[in-house]
Amino acid sequence: MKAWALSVALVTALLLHPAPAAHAADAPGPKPALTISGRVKTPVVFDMARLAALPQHSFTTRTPWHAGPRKFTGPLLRDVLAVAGIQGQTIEAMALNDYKVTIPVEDAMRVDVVVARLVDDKPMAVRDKGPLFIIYPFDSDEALRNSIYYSRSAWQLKGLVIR
Amino acid sequence: MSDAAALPDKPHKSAKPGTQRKRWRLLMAALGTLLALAFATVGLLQSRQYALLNATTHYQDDYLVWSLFQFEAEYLKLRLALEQAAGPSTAVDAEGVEQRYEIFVSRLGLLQDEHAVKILHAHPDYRRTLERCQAFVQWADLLPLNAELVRTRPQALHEVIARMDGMADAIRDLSLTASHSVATQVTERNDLVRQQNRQSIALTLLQCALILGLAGLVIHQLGRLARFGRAQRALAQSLQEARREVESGSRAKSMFLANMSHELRTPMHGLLGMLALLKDTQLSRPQQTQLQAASDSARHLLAVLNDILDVSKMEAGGIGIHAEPVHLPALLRELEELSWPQAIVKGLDLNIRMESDVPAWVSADPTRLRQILLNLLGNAIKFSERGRVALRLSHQHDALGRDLLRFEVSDTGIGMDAATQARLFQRSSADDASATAPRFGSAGLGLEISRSLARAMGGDIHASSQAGRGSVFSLELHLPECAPAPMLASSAPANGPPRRLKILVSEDHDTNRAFLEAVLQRLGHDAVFCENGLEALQRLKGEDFDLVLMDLHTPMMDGYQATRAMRALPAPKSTVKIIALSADAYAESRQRALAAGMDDFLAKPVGIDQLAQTLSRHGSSLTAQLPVPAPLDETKLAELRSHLPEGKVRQLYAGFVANLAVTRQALAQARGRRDSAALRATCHGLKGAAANLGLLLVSTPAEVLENTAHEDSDWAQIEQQIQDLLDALSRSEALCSERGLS
Repeated sequence: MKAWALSVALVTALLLHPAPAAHAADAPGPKPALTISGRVKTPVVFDMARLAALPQHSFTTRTPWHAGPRKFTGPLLRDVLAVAGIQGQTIEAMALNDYKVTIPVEDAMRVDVVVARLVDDKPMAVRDKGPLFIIYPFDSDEALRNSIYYSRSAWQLKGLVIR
Repeated sequence: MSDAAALPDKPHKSAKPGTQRKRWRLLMAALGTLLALAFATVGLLQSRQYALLNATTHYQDDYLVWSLFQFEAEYLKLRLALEQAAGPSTAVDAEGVEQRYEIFVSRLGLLQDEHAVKILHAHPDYRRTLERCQAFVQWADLLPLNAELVRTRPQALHEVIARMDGMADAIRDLSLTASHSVATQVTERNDLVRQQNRQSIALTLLQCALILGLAGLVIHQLGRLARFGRAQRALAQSLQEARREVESGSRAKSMFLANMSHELRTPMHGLLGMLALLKDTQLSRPQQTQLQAASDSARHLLAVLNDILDVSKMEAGGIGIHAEPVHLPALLRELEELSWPQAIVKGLDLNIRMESDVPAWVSADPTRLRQILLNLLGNAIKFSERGRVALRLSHQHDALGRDLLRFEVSDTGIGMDAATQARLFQRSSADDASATAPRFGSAGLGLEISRSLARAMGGDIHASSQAGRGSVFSLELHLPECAPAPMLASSAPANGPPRRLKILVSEDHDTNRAFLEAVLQRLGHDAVFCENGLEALQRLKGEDFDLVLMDLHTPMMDGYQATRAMRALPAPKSTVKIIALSADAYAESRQRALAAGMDDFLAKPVGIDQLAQTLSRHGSSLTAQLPVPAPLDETKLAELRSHLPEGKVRQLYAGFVANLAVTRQALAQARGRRDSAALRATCHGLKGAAANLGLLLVSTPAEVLENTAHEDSDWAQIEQQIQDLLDALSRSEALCSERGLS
């Protein structure tokens, strides 16, 4: 009886979820926006709603990629990392276009680095370097305005691997 | 003079600094300006370099090249994804294709942004390629190229691929163009940096040159300072040499004066001696008067010579003050004795008085003190025709509260006006010599010498006067009180004719030899004469002498050498008394003589009294045998008689005789109890009383006994001396009655 019930549940589950890709394509439900893995207590997959539920932070800054200053809004990188309970020292930020960059965890602790969801209060499309954009407050500190920090500002962000 | 050589270049030097300073200031200003310019240029250059660096950071040129490569890569990835989706395979990731497209579009956005446009706008390729890509995106968005299209109309993808193919070369060209363009810009920037580097090297060189220039200037200035220092040192040295020369010149002049007066004193010695001897011969009354006048003139001349010698000694720095215990009452008595005859002659009242709070014994140079006071008293008597001359010695305090002795010599003479007072202590110049010379006698040097001496003794002389009313001269000295001097034979002078001495005289000057011969003969001594030290030494070896009178400057062997040779003889000849005779009265000569082993020193011309005194002093110490005293000092008696009426004089002597009984009793008592203290006290009183009356036959043995009577003395000798004294008392009694004095 018990075994039957288990088999039915399994078959039902297989039927309902034939493959993750198929599911993503088929079910329009919450789309995973950011995954955190590696040396963490619990790997976490954020969707946009969950990121929006974290405390939000906004600043306006100029960047090498935008003409004129823009307002960036999103949770602080350190809050995002706290959700996963990270245990490593460096973060490998992965982008949709297979861009990869290493960010020291210290940056997240020292600087108010934002995982931006909104630019000028609007969601970012992939073609507008969205949907997520790691952004440093360049205008608040001259020391941030150099290639090191520009290169750490990963856009089209899709995952963080803690090393 | 040596500084004359240093002087000529002085004006030349003093004219130079003005122009040199101007040139120096100009040079400094030029260097300063250059330095400021160099610093400004460096500042400008560095700010430009900084700006360049900032620009590089801002434009992110290298990043643009990377973006273009990424764009090309995305283009290829999209094309691959589309080919796969359009292919026969059924497993198509439609969502993946849509995302590829979106990423491609986002990359295109990077090429359109501000700084990419800035860098690439000049290239026609860029604009063309960009426009083509934009047109493609517009067209694809209208399809729209999304997952839906991929799934539903895969055949439409072929057209998309076809449109994309046309863009491949353009995109590759663009990325090449960008990298070339950036490379060119990098080269340009490098050139700029190199150029700026060159400029900064040039500036650094300029700065180095400036610093070297400054260093050169500093070294030059240091060199000038060093030269200046050397010149200063040389000048100081030449000045010092000049001063030494001047000083030695002045010393030479003083020495010359001293020598001259010395040369003059030697014949004076003979002259005075011969005059003194002549006085004892049978002379008519006019001859006596003439002799007296000659004698006075000679004495005056000697006084002048002594003054000149004193002054020249002071100028040569040879004045020495030799302090010793001085008995002030005795000194005043002596002054009174010396001044009294002059005062009597002019009918003046001479009053010498000492306040009771003045200490009896003070430490002073008796010779110098006597010299000053005699000069002041002499002047006072000289310039007073009637009235009174007084010397009052009092104890005062100076402004600092120190003890001060004031010797105040006042007269009722002609006095002086203010002008005379003003130049009183100054040496008479040629102009006013005629005015002051008769006024102050001798060479007018007496007061100058007195003041110099007083100052050398740490004191001074002040004068106050009113014309016609008389003058007061005050000598103020800090003379510390001291313990009485041990009784010296010299402090009780003229104890009568000393014992007959056998004397060896070494003297090369004929007149002096004749004089000494006569004097020694008169004093009752045996004299043997030699002409030099060597002869005297030979003579002493062969014969025994009590005493040697040694002229210091004799040919063959001088007095110093002879004395040293005599002192080297075996005893007892080595202990013979040697008295130096010298015409140069410098303290240095005296010290040299004493150092050579001589016992005493006599400056020529030697007075008869002085010689007698010295001989008696040294003769009496030769032996314990007492000289036979002259019974009565006639001068003392004459003095008393001149002061007092004859009746009063007789009364004095009678009183003395009447007191003898008490004295005898006291002596007998002390003798019986062997009480030396009582003996000394009795003798002291007796000595004083007898001395006041000139009774030498009593005062001499009384003094001897007073000096020898001590607890540990040989009592047998004392007994003998008491007996001698008692005999003397009896004889004095007889003498007084014999002379009709009691």
